[in-house]
Amino acid sequence: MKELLPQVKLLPNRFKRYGLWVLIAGMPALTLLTFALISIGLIPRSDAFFDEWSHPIVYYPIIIGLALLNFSEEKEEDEMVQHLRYQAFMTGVLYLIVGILMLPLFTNAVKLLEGSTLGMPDIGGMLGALALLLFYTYASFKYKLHQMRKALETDAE
Amino acid sequence: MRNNIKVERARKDMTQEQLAEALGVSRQTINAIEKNKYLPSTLLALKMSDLFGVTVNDLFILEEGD
Repeated sequence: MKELLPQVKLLPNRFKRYGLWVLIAGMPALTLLTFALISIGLIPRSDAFFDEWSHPIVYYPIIIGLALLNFSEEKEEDEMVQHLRYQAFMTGVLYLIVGILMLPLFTNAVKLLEGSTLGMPDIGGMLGALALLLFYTYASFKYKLHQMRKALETDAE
Repeated sequence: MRNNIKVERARKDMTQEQLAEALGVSRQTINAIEKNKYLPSTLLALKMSDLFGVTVNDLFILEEGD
């Protein structure tokens, strides 16, 4: 049966193994690379490791590794696995929205307990990414719905 | 909803593994369908009914509240 809508093609199962390797070895490899770049002077300041490069070094391997785990097939891939993956993505996005929106509340609650003054944590990037994700998801869904209705109208004629 | 897959499978003397292989799904999926933990797609339900030689209505039975 021909799929009316384009489907995301998952990577073969072996990419799960690659994902695990990226998770395990990515951080040490990037740390060594950054130190090498500092030592040969391509990164001019040695303290840049801590204030500029630490975030990418930590998060790039985690995000790439987990993306490979998420977007590769299971050993026995079938419709139930696809259904469970879809459910996991839905709950994942929902928890992400709640988590990010609640972040200022949590950080300020901790600040209150510590007796320090309240302040807004730097979550601008996270909010932007979240807004982009939700905008794309909604726009893509509506477009696909429109495509489906159009195809059904054409069929009815 | 309940289903008669286990009964039909026994009638054909098939294991979950054999049924899964014939339908191109995992044994876990067959187990989940039999235990009503997962509702199969129309395509898979039709493949099952074809394999057992019964109608989909004979395999899957609606219950009150469905």
